[in-house]
Amino acid sequence: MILDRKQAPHNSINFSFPEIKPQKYVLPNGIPLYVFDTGSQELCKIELVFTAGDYYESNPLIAYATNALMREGTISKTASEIAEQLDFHGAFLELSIYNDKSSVVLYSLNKHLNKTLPVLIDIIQHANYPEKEVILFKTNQKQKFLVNQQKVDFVARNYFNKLLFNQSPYNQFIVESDYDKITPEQLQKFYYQQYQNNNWYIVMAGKIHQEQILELTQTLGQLHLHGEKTDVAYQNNIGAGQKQYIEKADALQSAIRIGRRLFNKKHEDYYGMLVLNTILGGYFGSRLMANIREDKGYTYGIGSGIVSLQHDGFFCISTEVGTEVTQDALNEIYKEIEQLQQEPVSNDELNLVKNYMQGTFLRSVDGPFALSDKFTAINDYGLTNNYYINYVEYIKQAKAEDIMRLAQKYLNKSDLSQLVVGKL
Amino acid sequence: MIEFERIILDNGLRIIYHEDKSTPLVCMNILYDVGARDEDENHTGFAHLFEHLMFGGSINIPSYDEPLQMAGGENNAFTNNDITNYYLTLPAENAETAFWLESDRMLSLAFTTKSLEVQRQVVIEEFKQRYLNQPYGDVALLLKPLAYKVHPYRWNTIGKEISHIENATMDEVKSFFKKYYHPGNAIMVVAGNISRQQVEQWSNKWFGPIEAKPKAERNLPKEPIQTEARKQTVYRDVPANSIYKAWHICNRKDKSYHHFDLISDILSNGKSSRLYLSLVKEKKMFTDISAYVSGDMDNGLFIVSGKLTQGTDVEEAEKEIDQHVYYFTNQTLSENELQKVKNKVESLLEFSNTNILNKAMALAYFELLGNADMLNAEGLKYAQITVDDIRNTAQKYFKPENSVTLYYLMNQLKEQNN
Repeated sequence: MILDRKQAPHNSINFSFPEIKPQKYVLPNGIPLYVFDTGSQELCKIELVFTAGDYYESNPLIAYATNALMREGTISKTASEIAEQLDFHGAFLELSIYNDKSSVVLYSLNKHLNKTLPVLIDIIQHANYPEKEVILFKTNQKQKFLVNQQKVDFVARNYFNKLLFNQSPYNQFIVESDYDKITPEQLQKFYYQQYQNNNWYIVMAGKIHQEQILELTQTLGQLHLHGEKTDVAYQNNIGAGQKQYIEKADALQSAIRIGRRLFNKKHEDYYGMLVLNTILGGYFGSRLMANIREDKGYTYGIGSGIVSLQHDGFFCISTEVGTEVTQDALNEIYKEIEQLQQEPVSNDELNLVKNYMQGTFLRSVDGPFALSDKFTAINDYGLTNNYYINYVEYIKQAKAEDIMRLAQKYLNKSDLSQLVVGKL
Repeated sequence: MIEFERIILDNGLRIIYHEDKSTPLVCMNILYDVGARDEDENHTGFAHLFEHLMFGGSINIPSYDEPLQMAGGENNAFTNNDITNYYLTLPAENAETAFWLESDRMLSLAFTTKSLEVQRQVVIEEFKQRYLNQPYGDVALLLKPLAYKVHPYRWNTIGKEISHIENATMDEVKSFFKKYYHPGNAIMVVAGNISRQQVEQWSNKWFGPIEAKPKAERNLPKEPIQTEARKQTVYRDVPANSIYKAWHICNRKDKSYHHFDLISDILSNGKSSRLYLSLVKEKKMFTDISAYVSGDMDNGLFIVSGKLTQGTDVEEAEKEIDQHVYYFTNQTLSENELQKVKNKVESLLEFSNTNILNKAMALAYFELLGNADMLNAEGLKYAQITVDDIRNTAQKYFKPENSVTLYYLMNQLKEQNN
């Protein structure tokens, strides 16, 4: 039989997705513990999630610094002792800050957990922000900021956030002097309010043993913290369709941002916008990549994304293009958007995107760590596995008319804000 | 322990099969034994440009990406000094699509003019984005030719200069393909939720008919032993002075490689590491500093790089780096400190094996080094290292005359120094 290399092998599109349903325990102090025990290696990830994102800070960088400096000293241990105890046992501590939340993650081999877990417990209970550590952090982070200020991409990110969220708690615009203003007292206060309360949860993933759960019950489960979580009222009065140009005379490439405020994953149009976003700029074969990289060669990469926030959300296109083609690239981006508003997506393209999105979802739930990430992404919004079941169902039945309707509703040029950093 | 089986086709294609039933995915990684070191010195950046062209359609399949996306898959690739590596993951049900796509582009590319013209532009923008339009972006472009005078590691994967990419011709593209893209020059790993029988069947069906070609001989000029310290100073529009200091070391296969890897961990891996504690925290001479091993197939570099705090004298800072590096030649490390970095490596190896793609890439790379099974021996190799091994290796390579130093300074200093 002659091999027909032009013919693609038969493909299935009925993937079976695992459920994002951890085992739930409630510790004696009321803190929920969620467990994904599907790992085959003797290791685990323990994530603590706090309502301590940038949203809750009253001055720039406070949420970030409170999170990052948590490991730099407690009542009983110095920064170096903490680092030594983790490093010696091959553990990794990952401190992350997001818009709404922050997280403290310990990665450890199970055999060393009796040495590494106490460090995690210590830092979420007794961090004391020594002045010399705060000063060191300020100096070094400021220098990093100054280096970043020379990158068009960083400047664009910083200013575009301001363009969309100025005067709202989601505005994280940073200037050099913000680093000088950080004080240990501010950090200690933020730590007390946002971490030392009863409003956090734990996710464990990997190969989990009953005695580890018992250990958490007897340690983290006994903490009675009395801090009061601060709530911040949300408001954002900024108008749509802002434009800004920041010239950088010696730039070889311009950074472009085009986007708008949107809504979060609880909105009825959220799934549809995810599909629309994928078609426009959410994967390698997207319209923007096909045109601006693969046809014109204007850029190394262009993409778009949707970010869900507790009280808001946004959509953003971003790229870096040669300065001599900045205006052409802008024109082509708007052309692609208009085309999505004027012509329904073909069946072939829509089917491809549907399959691609389902494959991407399957990749994103592979393994216990991935499952735990998918879980925190819904748990923060009080959503359950149904969110993902409905997501897959939506993708399967998505219609070209719906996509076009959403493009007409949400991607009007007059509603889109635009920022260029570089040369026009 | 990563279990695997090896299948070798008649045309020379080496296949490493690793089963992992816990994943719903299959991952295919194809490593071609060609990198920037195989380029002509007047046509640098070519291996990487070629990697881009591998996505421009093959002889029977006009688009590589579309059918893969249709099957729910995703892919990418990278090129470095030594290898060009392509990888994809897709739902296990659709694994045959991977065999179909990858075999067709191993058979022959479409070689369209459009693809060459566009990818040339894309790579030039990549050159600008990563190397020219970034503070400190050109460091690698300076450091490599300072360290290597003869060996092709003297240029970077992206190329020596943009003109080399601008001048690439279709004839060169075709002859490069003929020379390096054939079964005997590739290592394919198939990992994930798939049976051995299925891998054998589809490998024979799709890759079996591809014609065998002789493997190109590699005769790279050997870098002569450096006998005098080299130093270069450049001035740029940057907000902080920085230092890059490198020593010539062994290649990835040499047993000393693991010694250097541990030394770099002792120096800069984690917040309890020596350079961080001493130079960032205590003396406050650097805002950040790191030590790393290049890990090349031919003799590589041990590099220490750091950004200085305002007001720190660059020569004083270099002396501090020297002191920390030469420590390993004249002092003996404590068992405790050695154990710490061994524990870190053990943990890192365990964690990296939780990911199917990581496993596939590592298996391919170790098979190229000599045997995929070396991946499983890595842990033991690190565990057996003694404090004497560390000192002996350090004594052999850490010598001033074997070092190169790049001062990358702020423009303001130029006026002061002149």
